[in-house]
Amino acid sequence: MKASPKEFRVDAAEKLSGATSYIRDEQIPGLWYGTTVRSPHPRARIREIHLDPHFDWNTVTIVTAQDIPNNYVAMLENDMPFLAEKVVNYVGEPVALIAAPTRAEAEEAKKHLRVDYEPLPAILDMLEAEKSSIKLFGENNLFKEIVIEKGNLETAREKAAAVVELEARTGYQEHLYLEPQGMIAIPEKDRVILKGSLQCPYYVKNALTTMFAGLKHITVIQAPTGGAFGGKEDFPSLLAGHAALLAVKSGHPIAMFYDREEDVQVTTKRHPSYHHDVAYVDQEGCLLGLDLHLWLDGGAYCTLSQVVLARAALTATGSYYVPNVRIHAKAVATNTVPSGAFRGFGGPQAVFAMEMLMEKIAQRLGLPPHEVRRKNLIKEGQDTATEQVLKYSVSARETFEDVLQESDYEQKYRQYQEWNKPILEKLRKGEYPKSNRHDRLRGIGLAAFLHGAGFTGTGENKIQGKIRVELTAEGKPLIFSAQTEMGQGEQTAFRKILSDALYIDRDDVLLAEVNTDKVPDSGPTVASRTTMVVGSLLVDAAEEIIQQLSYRLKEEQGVQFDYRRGYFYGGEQILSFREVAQKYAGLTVEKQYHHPPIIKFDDIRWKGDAYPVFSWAAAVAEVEVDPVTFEIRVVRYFTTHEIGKAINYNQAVAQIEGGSLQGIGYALYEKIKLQNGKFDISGFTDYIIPATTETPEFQVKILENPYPFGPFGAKGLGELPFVGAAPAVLSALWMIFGKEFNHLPVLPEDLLQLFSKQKNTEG
Amino acid sequence: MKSNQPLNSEKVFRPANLDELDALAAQTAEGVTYVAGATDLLVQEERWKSARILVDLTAVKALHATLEVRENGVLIGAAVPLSRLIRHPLIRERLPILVETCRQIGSVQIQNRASLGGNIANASPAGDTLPVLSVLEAELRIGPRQNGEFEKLSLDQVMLGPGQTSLNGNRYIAQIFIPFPPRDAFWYFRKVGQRQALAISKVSLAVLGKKKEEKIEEIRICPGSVTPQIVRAQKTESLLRGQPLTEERIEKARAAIECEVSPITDIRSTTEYRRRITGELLREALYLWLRN
Repeated sequence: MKASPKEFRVDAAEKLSGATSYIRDEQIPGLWYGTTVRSPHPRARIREIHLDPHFDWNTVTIVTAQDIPNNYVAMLENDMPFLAEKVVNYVGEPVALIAAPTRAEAEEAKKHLRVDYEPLPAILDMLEAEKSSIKLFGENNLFKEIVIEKGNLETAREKAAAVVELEARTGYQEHLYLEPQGMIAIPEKDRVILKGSLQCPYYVKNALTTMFAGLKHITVIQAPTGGAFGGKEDFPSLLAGHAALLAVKSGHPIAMFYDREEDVQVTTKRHPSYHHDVAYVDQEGCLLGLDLHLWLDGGAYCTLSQVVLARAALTATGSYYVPNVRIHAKAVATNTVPSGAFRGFGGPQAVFAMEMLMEKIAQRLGLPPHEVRRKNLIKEGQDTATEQVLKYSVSARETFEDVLQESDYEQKYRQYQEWNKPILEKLRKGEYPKSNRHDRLRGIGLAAFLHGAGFTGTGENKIQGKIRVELTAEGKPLIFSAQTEMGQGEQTAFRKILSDALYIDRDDVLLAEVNTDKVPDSGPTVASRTTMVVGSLLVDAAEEIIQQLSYRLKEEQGVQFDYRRGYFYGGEQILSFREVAQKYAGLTVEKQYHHPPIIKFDDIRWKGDAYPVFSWAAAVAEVEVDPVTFEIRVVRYFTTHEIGKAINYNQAVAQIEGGSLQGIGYALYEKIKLQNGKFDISGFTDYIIPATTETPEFQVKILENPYPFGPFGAKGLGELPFVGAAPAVLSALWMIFGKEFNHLPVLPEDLLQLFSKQKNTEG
Repeated sequence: MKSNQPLNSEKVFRPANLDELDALAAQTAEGVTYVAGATDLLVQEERWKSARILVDLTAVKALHATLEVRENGVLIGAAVPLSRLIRHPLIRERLPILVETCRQIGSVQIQNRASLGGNIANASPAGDTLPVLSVLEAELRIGPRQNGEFEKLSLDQVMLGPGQTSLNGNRYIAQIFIPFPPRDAFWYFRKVGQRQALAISKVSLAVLGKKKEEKIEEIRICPGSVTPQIVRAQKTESLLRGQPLTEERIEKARAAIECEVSPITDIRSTTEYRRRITGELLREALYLWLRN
């Protein structure tokens, strides 16, 4: 790879100057606005949709379930309707759509449409779903159940010096992408064009082709997308369906633009989880066996819950080697907003529970938390719960030891314990804030974590992503792929990978508009797969371009041409890539992805290579707690990531910082509760994410340990940093208080309660 | 007087001076919504959309530019941006408690637009300047003028409860007179939010006090976000007033204020946390004073 110290993102200037045109900036003549009539009930029968006879309905277009050829969003289970027909299953579920020339007229019409409901009992607790007499999905409300077994837990139980049990819970999380969901549908005679803020154009195309029963050609164009984090993976299919239905019925282009409140109320969230785990350990804290049970709340419809559950189950043992394991995982249906994809995709919940279990083992055995982790970290040659033998690019230990050293963890751990002693003593005696008001409890916590890069199991072989590269008349390679830029840096990474593989300038690589009529289906932009999986196709394409150009030169000139660092050498000639590419403009190369044949997975028995490779990381969080208000702050955050190869170093560091901060938000700030099935948040004013004032001093280090099948050795990065942040922060709270912290998020209110209880029991 | 057809409301007026403003208030039969920096209004879409008449106060100098330092206090236009107060050398010197609360509001961008008048008129129990204005015994001057005079009201005569003010019939807050506390007065303000910036308070507390010969001569305590109306903790104050400040007194005062407040559990915090932390903040304030 070329050394390139200052490589700004290719989209930076446009975005910084405000020149980027998002979906709400589109100027489309005759554009109408759509609005959605939604259920106020968590579960109810729809008796009747009543239209006010005094309102002039000729000025607007209404769509109900009856208007839809195939009323289900084609995804994994096809259980979610575009519009509820007989029963609504969550607060906010779409029942009808209205479009009018202006937003105000559409909203006015909405006031004249009344839906009569008969409220029905609902399932609002995920742990009640399986046994409930209310049936939302199948026989037992399980979207999916996974059992993974390795070895024999009996052996572990017999040999165990200690049995450590943990219950844990994680809450909802909202993506809070800067740009709320937005979609425009433009109707033509036999086709509908969808343009919007989205991650996966082919998901939308597939969902809408199915919805229209193949009667319409569907073209999907990605508009510049202002953040997604998984929130624009599955949801846009529903929104696009709504826009397209209104567009076809009204004959007008339709905009569906959610405002922030609607967006946070009805779009997908991170799956809440419940864990009940048992660890069998020897005297030194070595894991002999793990018996892990986890539940994910999938909400009213399946969306991607089955795959989220798979990733959670496959990540449940964290970065550790365990000889005997049973993992029992369930994704359940409840009468809540469907949960969906979110950076980490089940991994954060699983790793959180595992890391808190590690804390508890350390506490029980009286060992330092880093020692217990150190003893169990997995290494090359060992196998995971699915008996996947890790053969290459394994860095659980390296990242762990590195971050301990970088952060001076062991010394600070001792120092801070000493530091906290008098403060805790005064706190117990109720002496704050009498004493020095600037006293702060200091905590240091750690987490080891991993992320399986690319799709789970056989996913990549099912998708078989395809890309195409063409040489333009100017001699520039033009990449056609369905991968989307959503702020994560895909455009920069792709141009860099191809330009480096060809030894040409980054600016000489072009990217085609993401339009399903033009680009092949290279798969969705999810699962930290874009750089690693699709990026590897770009390197393959580069090799083939060079081969073909060399071959053509030889055919034409009769001498052998070699390609070195941007130039073809043959006979006495030196030709630049550009010259040769211009000469053979129009040359097209296609590449399709298949897993390397050594990667095998059995997704019925849950055995084998769950992921082609894992990315590894460890983090240390330094936390301060105000003994008067119990406010918690992460002041320093150290993390070492091993991602194979950083394609763009600065951008990789930025990804790691951003993901870590989002994880800190998950740990300490972001809270959503349900009130009779309705989320209690409305937007930025009451859903608190960390701001610059909550950003710790970051110290990020990237280790490289190439993955043989990634571009230049690169593995997935996008989700990994998120996964370990929350457990690292909570580990620091264990350290300060010596108490069990087993739920996310932890707010000052929780610490106060913990302390009041402690005082009561001790006093 | 300029008027035009805005996007969402029926009418927007931007009176150029106090006379135009008063004339507008008198002539308009319907209720109007006065706007200064719009930092509260703009984020409440339903509210500004339902407002039929918006009156932009930023051209009325008496409201937007007045900053008159007098011998005994300062007269501040109700629409003066908070950042002007933060930067003003004399206000910094004589009213550090006001500067501190302004600094903790929203963000720098918000402070550049938000105003004291707006904070009062929005009438949120979590309004950050309200406890401070209360302990400073600020005097609110309410228009339109009657016989050339503004009506003078105290904060608790204007802010009646969450979103409730006594300002009906197109009355507006014109100016705020803040008397200077003695130079040696003790002051304390602390806000606790879920985030260090851009956060609505869970709890806040303002304290202003004066000792004379080791006894508390005057004490004013006002908590924020823990009562529906912003009112001083009078029972707690009377427990302290005229008494020497001792540890025992402080602990009694803490117990008193925890009884005096009536916090609720909502999206931002819990009853328990708010009650406890109000007490803790008061202790923090009084121990600071004790050690001074």
